[in-house]
Amino acid sequence: MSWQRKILRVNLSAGTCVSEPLNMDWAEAYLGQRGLATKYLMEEIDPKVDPLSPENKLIIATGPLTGTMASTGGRWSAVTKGALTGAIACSNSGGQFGGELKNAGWDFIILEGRAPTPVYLYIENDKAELKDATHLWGRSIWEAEPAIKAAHHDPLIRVASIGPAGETMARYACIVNDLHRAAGRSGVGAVMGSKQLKAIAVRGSVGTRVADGKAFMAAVSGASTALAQSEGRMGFTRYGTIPMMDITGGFGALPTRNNREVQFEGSDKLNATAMQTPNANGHTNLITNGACFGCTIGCGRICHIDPQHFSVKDRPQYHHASGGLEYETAYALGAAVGVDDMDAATFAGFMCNEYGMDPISLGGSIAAAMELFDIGAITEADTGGLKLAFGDAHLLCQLAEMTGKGEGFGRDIGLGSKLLCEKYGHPELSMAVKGQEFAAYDGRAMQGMGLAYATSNRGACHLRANPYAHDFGSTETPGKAKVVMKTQNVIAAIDSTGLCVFTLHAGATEEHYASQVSAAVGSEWTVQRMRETGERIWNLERQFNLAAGLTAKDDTLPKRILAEPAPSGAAKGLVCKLPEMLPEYYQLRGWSVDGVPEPATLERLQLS
Amino acid sequence: MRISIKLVGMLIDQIPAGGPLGARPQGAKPLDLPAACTLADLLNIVGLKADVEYFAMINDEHIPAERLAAHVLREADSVVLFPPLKGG
Repeated sequence: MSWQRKILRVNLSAGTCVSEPLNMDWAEAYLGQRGLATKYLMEEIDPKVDPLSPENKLIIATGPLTGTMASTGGRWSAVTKGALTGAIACSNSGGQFGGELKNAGWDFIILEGRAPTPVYLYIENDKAELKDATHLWGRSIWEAEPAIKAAHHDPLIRVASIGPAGETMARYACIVNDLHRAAGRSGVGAVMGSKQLKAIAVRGSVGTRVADGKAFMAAVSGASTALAQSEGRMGFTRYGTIPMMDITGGFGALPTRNNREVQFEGSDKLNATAMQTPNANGHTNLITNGACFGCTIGCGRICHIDPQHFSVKDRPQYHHASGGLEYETAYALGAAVGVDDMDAATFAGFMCNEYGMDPISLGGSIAAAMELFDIGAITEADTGGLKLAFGDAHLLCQLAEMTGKGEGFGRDIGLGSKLLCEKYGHPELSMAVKGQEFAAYDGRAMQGMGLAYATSNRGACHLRANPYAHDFGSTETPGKAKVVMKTQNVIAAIDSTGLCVFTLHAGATEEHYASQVSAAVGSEWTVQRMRETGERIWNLERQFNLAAGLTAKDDTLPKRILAEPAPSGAAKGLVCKLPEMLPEYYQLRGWSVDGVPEPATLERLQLS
Repeated sequence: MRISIKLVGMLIDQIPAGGPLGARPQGAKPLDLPAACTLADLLNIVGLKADVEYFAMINDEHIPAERLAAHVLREADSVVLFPPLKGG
């Protein structure tokens, strides 16, 4: 149990919504959410398909613990072929939407085809129907979500929607739920936009049952107690993720100005202290913390912009509280573009939430454009008169809004840094892997993260492996391949449960995941089985990418990280030694020297 | 000898108010230490638990994890202690 055993299959071309049973054999092999949805995608589409064509499918997936009382059990994922990467995309979100979907009686939604005119999907328990969204097309997420709730006279409907960025298929458009939580990476919102699906609105009161209630409550209590007592959890609750700014900044792993540098002189204006300290006007950016469905961590930051700040001075519609800066947004909309203005970065983050963009890729793309402008590859003739200077907070706010709306040079920014840099003749300046921009860690100081970026199945990502402690302990490469491979497997399993991966950094152990899943679904899940399942999922994603046409040549990093020594910090004088780590990684994975899983590996993982 | 010490993130919260750095020390603070003081000794002096998880930069250079505790400090060293935060 905990599974509803039901999939909602929506054919947007035909306008049909059909219930079908969840494949429980696959659920035993791939656990749920990330793993199980990847299995469905692999079975149902040709991996070579154009991600923005009707032949691509978009799967909205929950895990077995989504919608339960397990702490953080509200996660859901959007799984598809990524518009930004052409690789497998699995983008994970929190908020309230996932729990609501499960409690409406559905495990997955499989969206296929393309609607002839804009629609939204309305689900009320077992009732599902497509409704006209012509009047919502072109409207922002912050307009559309309240409009849908008002139309149904129900403020408790949970909505996941796209903004104009998704409608215009900006390559890193995301899906935003509950106004400021997002399935952010890899362009899942562009895929949704290509299907002319504006939103999914859900209201659920069916509830979720677990197999063994007594054992489940004991397992949940154990995990929640561990979180409650963890110093890592306390740090997330008090400060969110933004304290990392001081750590990477001091260590020399904070990508700055398109990775030209690894330490940012303005980091103390973007850190936890700055967020909590009144400015000259007496305004404090941070209001409180926020939590997703069932979460006992509460890492979210609820913030507001100083009404006197230039970005919102004459725009009272932006004076309210909303999701504020996390470490990744502070990096991407701060250090990456050389901006040390917290309110400007917060405004750019608001634009990402309102118009539906991944802030990491937005910041990475703007940073690339700034460097292209700096070397003369982009001129004012290309930008419509804009001078793309690093550190210009006004420009950041302007470009974020233009990109969200698909206006002017914002269209170029919306290409993502890979296509943008190719367009202007300098592909080497895209700080991306498989087309997806770096997260907030430089792969020279953090060699393990460099390997994690290069081998991530969805492109550069900080959430696919856990090399942090090892990287902060040593800049040498021995041991990194093993840490990266093992933690990739563990995280692939966690991402398939319905729980938040941050639990791993906040006191949870592998035993906690296994015990909660076992009690919820009624079959035995040991730590070893979770690890093997994670490895199976990782290899399945790899098979998808290989079938899509990616090769070992895509397991690499930009020339800057491989050949230009870090200018300061712990890795001063070092480059990322990927060539030392990658062969060992392939060997540990049971892959050939060309990065292809060996037959024996596939047989062991029952993927033959 | 005199060094400067800066604590980052959650380590600041773990410093006792009655210690030589005072409560919630912000930024770099000067600190007088006995000669041949190690990083392990420093933790004890400032009031951090011996088993606290941390990593260190001294004079902008990273100290490998296996040499942390035994690392001997010198006059005028600039020490920054970080919590090993993950995720983000």
